[in-house]
Amino acid sequence: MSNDEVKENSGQEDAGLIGQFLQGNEEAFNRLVLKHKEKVYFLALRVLGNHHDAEEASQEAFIKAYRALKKLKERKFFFTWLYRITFNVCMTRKKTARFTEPLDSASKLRDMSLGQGGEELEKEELKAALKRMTELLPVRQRAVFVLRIYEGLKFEEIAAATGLTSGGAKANFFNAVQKMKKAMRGNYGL
Amino acid sequence: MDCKMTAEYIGEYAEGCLEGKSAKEMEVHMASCPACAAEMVSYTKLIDAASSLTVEDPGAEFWKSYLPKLRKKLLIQTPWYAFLRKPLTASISLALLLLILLAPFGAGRMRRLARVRNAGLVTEESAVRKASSNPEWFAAAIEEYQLLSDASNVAEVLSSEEKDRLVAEMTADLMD
Ligand SMILES: [Zn+2]
Repeated sequence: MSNDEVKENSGQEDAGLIGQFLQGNEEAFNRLVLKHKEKVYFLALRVLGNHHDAEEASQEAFIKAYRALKKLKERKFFFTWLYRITFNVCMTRKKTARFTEPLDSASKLRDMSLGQGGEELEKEELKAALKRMTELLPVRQRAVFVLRIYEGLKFEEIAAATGLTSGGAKANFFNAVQKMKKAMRGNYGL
Repeated sequence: MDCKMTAEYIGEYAEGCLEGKSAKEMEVHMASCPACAAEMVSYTKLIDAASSLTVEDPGAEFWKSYLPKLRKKLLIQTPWYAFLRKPLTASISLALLLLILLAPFGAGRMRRLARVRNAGLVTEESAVRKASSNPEWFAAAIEEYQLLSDASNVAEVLSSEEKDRLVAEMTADLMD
């Protein structure tokens, strides 16, 4: 089955569950939560940077979805819609969110450097530097970057999930990459 | 395509956003330009490294408690009448409460409510539509919607027969 077919089937399943939920079946909503909780949580975690905010944001997103489900027109696009709610919640929370472990990777790196060297270390250094870089990106760029890299969404899908235009999504993504490349030029084998 | 153009569109190319002809031109340029080819490698390396960045999974206990926590929040973050959701006898309390609250209302207001109901005013959308097209119905429409909204909140924990019975009872009480 192709990736698009998987998405299509999953969308149809969601639409069925939403139909049941709107007819009063609360269990159907539970199934939607169980099905999508990881995606929503990890999106919030990657955008907000810490477990506490990610948990709060992801639950807030589901609560908003619960209350607004009857307004959702295209039920098979529930997932994109849920992403959009999560994205908006994260945007609202960005002011209070703090990255709790910015030094985590750096300290791991120090430990590693005792025993390793060469290409492997360079790769780990690059990853650590990238982690710090993504944390410094403006939250909108970070969210677009996360949706593209970790969720593998197409730019049109990112647009639907963020309310940006497809061109806007692309611009945010390439700006993010550009910033990272610029900051790291000449290092880590780049 | 030259180096400047290649630099500008390298991301689009790598992300598969370039159309066939432009993509082909870029490939031709990179095949003969080591600098641009190196840029491409560096772009890919950066994206690959970013893709392999992991985040910590909060663990099985967290996932197990995720839905129960959410359900609790959904229950808490409801208006003051949320307590009505819990016991099944809530339907009786609600009907009584409404009777007590509505008892002092004049017959005129009751007639207005009944008129709104007879007009088939049963959803939020229709309430808003009718209220805005006919301002004199506004107050009655708001009341009506509140009643039905309270009823449907209670109904979340009731079966559909129970819900229908409750709404029918309340309606009958109000129409008396
Ligand atoms: Zn070149």
